[in-house]
Amino acid sequence: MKRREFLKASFIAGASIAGTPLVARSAESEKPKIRKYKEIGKTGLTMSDISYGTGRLPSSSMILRAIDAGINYFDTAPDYGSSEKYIGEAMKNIQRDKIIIASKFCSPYAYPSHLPLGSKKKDYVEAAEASLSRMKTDYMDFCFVHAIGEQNKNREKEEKRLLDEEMLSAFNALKQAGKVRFLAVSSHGPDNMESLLLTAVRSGHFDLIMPAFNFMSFPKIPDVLKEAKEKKVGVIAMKTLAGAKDSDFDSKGEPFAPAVFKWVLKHAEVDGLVISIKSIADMDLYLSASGEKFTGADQKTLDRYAKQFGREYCRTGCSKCEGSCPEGVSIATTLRFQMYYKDYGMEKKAIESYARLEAKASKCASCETEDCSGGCPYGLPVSSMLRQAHDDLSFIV
Amino acid sequence: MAPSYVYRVLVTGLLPVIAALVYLEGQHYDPALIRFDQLQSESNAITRLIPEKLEGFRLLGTVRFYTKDNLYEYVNGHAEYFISAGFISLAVGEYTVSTSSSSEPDVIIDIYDMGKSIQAFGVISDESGGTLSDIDGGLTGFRSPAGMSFTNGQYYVKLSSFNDNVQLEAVAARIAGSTGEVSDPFPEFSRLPDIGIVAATRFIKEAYRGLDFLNNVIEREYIIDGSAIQVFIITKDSGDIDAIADSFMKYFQQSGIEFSSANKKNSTVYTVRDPYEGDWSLIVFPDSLVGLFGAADDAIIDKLLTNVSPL
Repeated sequence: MKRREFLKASFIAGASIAGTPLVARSAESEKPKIRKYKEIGKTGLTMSDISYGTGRLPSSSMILRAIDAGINYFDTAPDYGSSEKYIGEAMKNIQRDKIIIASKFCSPYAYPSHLPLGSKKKDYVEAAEASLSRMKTDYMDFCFVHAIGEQNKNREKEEKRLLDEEMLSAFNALKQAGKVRFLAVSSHGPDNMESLLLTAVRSGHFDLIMPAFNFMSFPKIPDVLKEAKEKKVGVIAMKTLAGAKDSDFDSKGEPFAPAVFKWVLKHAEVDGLVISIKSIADMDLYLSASGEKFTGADQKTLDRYAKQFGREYCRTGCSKCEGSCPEGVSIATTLRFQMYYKDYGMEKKAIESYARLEAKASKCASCETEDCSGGCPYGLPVSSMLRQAHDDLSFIV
Repeated sequence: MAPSYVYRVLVTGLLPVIAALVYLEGQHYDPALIRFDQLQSESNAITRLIPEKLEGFRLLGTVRFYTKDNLYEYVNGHAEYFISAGFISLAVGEYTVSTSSSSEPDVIIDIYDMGKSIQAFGVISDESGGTLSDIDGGLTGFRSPAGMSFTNGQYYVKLSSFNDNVQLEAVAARIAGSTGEVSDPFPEFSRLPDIGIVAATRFIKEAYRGLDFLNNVIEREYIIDGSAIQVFIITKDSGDIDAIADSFMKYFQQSGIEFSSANKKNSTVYTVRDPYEGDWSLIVFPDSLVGLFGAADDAIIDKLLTNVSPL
């Protein structure tokens, strides 16, 4: 659905901000606006393709600006600073039924505040009701079980949190009371993201999933998206900026963020994306991607980015290089331990883990064939990385 | 020949012992033996603030260290927020009570280096959700069901407890001691006028109210006759203030926002009719810029004109 149809079907520009005379402003009318809306799964709710992640929401006025620009989906959480409070402040100027609000089963205390496994039904109910109170609204459209795959590396334990009976019972009670309309789950890893989201899709409990999804990582996510689409579970992408290293990126004049967004939105399974918007300039830049097709120029921008940063970055969960070594070296695992060692500052854990690994990279130093060199679909110099990893991880002086 | 052979045997025999000692003792590494990147010195500075010995507790494993590049691994979904607030690095220590053999932590200490006192204050004022107060030991912070947070200078410290019997006050005092004493870190606060009940004070590092040219802003919310008023102040030298004032004028014109101006007490007072913020006032002083949102009247503006004196 294009913006014009959406407005015709639901409300006219600015009318969603009740009582505020948003006069026609020639300069403002040239600003980028939302051009495309899409239904979220089978919920009947229609979201702007570029939507607002309010983790860095600077004020209630930004909500009104966003609505005026056509954004109608707002992703918040109790632990996103003053985000819920600002939404509450803006609420008196908003036609509530024209926007979609998603929050989390979470407390407002310092991060991490997502309700852990073991929380009771009343904890979930109270958390959601507290969010509604802060946002000065009677209901939220989506309530998320947030950051699944984060609290425990053990897949089974996180699956228990995902399908926790106390949480599901709380959601049903909130739904019956008209306080929450739909259940959702999000994950940005780092562990078992794909399999946990697949479990969520197959469980039948969730109306929406929100995975980390970008052009650099999580190659197994398309399988999850495909199944979500088949089951008419909504998909909203997050973490779309691929590490947001664009500040050091020479994009040759082509803006990076719009190219990234267009890449995400070209996937038919994706209903929209949320992006953190901290300023008016961010909003103008990001909205320029709305409704736009992914072009060859965009691909070149992404290629340049991948060229600059991609050879530093072994993609989590990829493992496509496994099997390319005739000696059976555990390539992906070795490089993951190297990432812990070098990037995460977890040197001891990395060394200990590597010590327990059966197929170490000890033979790489004398390897002459370097069969692994073509094993990385992203062009990482696998053989030299393995040699470096073995040096770093095995106390070789 | 014989002595050389003996030495060789001795040295060879000692190698497994040395290796075992190194492994058991943990990472008391010699930088000459293992290469670490340039972050190591930064890592050392903040990780030293996490005590190796904490009375009643045992440190589990090693102190973890995070930078902007990998903070998301620890505060997934929240890293951008910290980075935008000035985050430099983070050290994390996990402890269990010393009488326990468990490998699960009873207490986790997070020390965030936010670069500046005011930036640490900005984070804690956001994290507190408006419940900032004086906690034990004269520290500014807040308590939550899961722990306690406070700032000391440039450090934002978060203590999380998973054991109801743990007294976090003692831990807080110990950490406050290691992060140093701080005398009045916010001289800017003295410029905020006494016009009502102070409801909250915040520091916003960048893009105040979404405006890219408004950075390093202090905002104080007052309650006056039951209504909320927000006053913001930016202090700079006069050249910077002029540049920000120019940016405001451009923004008003480009956005079609109506405004009028008047000179009062040697300062320019702008009255702005903003479709998103409502009517508000902007006062340009030679070394500062002050804004006033909410139900303000001329009497409050007069007070601001009188009270906001140069530092």
